[in-house]
Amino acid sequence: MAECSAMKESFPLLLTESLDAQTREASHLHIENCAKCADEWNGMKEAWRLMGELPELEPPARIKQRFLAEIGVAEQKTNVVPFHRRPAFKWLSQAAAVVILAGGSYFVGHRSQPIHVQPTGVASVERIPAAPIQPAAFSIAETRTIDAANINPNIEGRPDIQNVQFSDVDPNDDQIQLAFDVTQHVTVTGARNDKSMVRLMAYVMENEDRMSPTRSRAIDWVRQTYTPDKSTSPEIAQALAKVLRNDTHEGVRIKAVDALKTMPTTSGDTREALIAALKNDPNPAVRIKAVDALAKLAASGQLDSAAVDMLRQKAMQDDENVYVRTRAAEALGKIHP
Amino acid sequence: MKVPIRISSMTAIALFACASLLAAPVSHTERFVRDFPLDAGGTLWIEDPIGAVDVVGSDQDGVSVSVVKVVVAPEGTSLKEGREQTQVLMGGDAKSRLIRTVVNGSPAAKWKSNVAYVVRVPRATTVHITGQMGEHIKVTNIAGTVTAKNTNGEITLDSIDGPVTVDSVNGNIHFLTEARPSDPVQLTTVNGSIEVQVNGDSNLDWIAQSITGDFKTNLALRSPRIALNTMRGIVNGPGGPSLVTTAVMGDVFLLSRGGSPNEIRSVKMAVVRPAVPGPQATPVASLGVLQQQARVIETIEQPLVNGPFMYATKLGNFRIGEIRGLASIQTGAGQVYLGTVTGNCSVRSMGGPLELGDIYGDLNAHTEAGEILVRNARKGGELSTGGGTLHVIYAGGAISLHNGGGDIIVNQAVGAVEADTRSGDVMVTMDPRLHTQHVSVKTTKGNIVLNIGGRFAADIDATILTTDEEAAGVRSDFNGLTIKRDTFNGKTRVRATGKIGGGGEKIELYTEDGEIQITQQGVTH
Repeated sequence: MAECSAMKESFPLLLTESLDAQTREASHLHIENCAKCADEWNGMKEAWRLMGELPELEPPARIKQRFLAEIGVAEQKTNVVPFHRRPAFKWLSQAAAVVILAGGSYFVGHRSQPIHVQPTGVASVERIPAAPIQPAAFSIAETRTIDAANINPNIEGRPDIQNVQFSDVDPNDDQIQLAFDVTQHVTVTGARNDKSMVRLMAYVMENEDRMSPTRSRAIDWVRQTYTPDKSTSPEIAQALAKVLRNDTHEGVRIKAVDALKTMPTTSGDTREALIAALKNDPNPAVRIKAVDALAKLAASGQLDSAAVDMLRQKAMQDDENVYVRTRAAEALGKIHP
Repeated sequence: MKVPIRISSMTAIALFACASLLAAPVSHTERFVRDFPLDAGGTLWIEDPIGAVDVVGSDQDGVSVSVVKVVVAPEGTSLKEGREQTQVLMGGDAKSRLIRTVVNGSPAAKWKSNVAYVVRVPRATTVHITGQMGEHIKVTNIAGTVTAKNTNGEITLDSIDGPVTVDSVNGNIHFLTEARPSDPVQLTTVNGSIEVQVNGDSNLDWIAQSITGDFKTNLALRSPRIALNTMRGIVNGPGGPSLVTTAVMGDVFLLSRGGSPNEIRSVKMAVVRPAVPGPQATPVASLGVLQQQARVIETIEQPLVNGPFMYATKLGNFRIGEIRGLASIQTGAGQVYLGTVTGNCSVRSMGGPLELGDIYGDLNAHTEAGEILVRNARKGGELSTGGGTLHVIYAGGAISLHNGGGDIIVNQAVGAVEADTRSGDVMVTMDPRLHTQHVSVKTTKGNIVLNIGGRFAADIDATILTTDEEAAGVRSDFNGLTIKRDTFNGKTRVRATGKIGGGGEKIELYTEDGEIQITQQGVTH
């Protein structure tokens, strides 16, 4: 009987396959030879299976609030995305990404030298003593505020950042804020053209892994925040060009080309993206805006022969929308010696 | 004291004179002639991005190239740089000769250069000319094939007997010959016009294209047909070579050399309105009188129309402040802006953005391509675009929105909302005072955000079909929804159903590869 009691206590560990091989073997031997324990084990297995099939339900807000109050944790904002349990390698990758994003204080004063943090592996987490990051599983609601200047601009891995919020507390200064959830709630503050801030912004715009409304908002925000500034980092325009080229979401592409149109700097890369959009994009609104962007370049004398050829081709193309054709012709009319 | 003053005055004058001299631009002109052998039937290639090119066919052997190179700069150093960076290269052999102008200046260079060529070749030569910003390209008396291409500047081909291909962006094109053409001729310009003058007895298979321009001729044109922007007809009689003339934004003239300008008539008018008696005299076209006609789309602009406004045009922008009555607008392409319309409003555009302000009556607006912005659709209506953002700030009645690709945004809706887009996000905010209203939203790729008041009641049926197994699913600020996940056609299907506020009108939300958020107004996220 004493053996049966001990066995029943180990059932949960047996279910979760947390016993060592020797104990697991002994437990199964006992269950096979003890009808009472076998009944109990089968019942527990069935209950476990049924629990696995139940949908995950969010507890009512009132109960959740009371529970959190009892354990001394402040209420989370309703928009914080719950952390989904993921396979271990993904967890490690994301933890490393958090460290890269949040552990920048260690690197203050060392930004002139390239810093390479491995995207995975516990060792890299331990190497950064100045970043008191708790394991992600225990810090879902924790909020951290980090200065962009203290972050390594190289984002390694592909951290799944969600619930992105932008703010420009004082429009008169150069400081902006970017907040997001990545196993914890992180707020990055810094100058809009700070390399790390620009890289983060580019990452948010390009991250198509999840179809959250974040990218649309990011592009809108970039358009409002960056375009009036003539010193806008070319990386912002490059990120928009990448979105314009690759995004499958037509609304996002429309926003990207719209933002690109107002960018003060136009590199060869963005010009090529505009030409490609005019040539191939199935959405007529994207093509119209691409023509407008190229017309702006034509007026400022920045049009190269590839762009002229594409505009000429569009103006001539019989099956193209007439409005696109006439806009292309108008753009070509702005070319002067 | 007088002497020093005199000296100082003279010094000042001298300095001023020197400064004036220094400030004056300097230039350098270089002229030279080169002769090369070229076989009869040989080929001449000329590339000159910055100057005029004249090629004349003659009965003499060989090529004679006369070059005038001019460099202008604000001072000597720049002049020297300009001379070095503007090079004339000549090469090839007796079968093929190449003449090139190479300019290596940056856009910021202070100097400007121009290289003009006058080239004499045997008449049977094949001539290929690529220009760019030169004043003109002129080819005369050639029996071989001629091709010419440029961006700006006139192109004139006179007395060419061989096949011709001309392509210009902003230049007018003149093709003139006393003879009856026997080879195909293809002339294309985007913003220029085209003038063709041939022998009055020529037989031609004429195809002319233009979006904004007209096709005019004083030759006998048999059974002309016009489809969209293209006209096709037989000149005089069948059996002639093809003449393809495309002037996207300009006019096309096909004239009898030496014919009467008073007999020139519009083919479009004749085809579209055959009942109009007699040819319409147009005293415009005669040899060499085509003007640069880089047209822009006509804009119909009025601050106020006191009554109904009905207008249909093939191409036109509209900018009207207020229409006191109904509005009915159709345009082949163009932008439409209407400030206020006190009656019903119907807008149809084959392409171009629509911006509509305060619309009192029923609204029906469609564009094949471009954005639609409506500030106030008091009675609701129906809006659609082939692609572009569709944005309604206020809809006072039921509104139906269809988008071929792009986002749909409704800032405040009082009536029912029906919205669908092929690819884009849909964000709909219902009036906060509403207790219930029907909403149906569908996007094949994108997110849906429905924002409703705290007292809103409805029966919710929200479905997400996604390839992302970890999709966050339906997020709601309201209790009462049951969420189920299953697999459908190999995809994950998340479906949220239930009643909010005790139930009411049906809200149907459907997205593929996106998220659905049902948010409560006033709740901070």
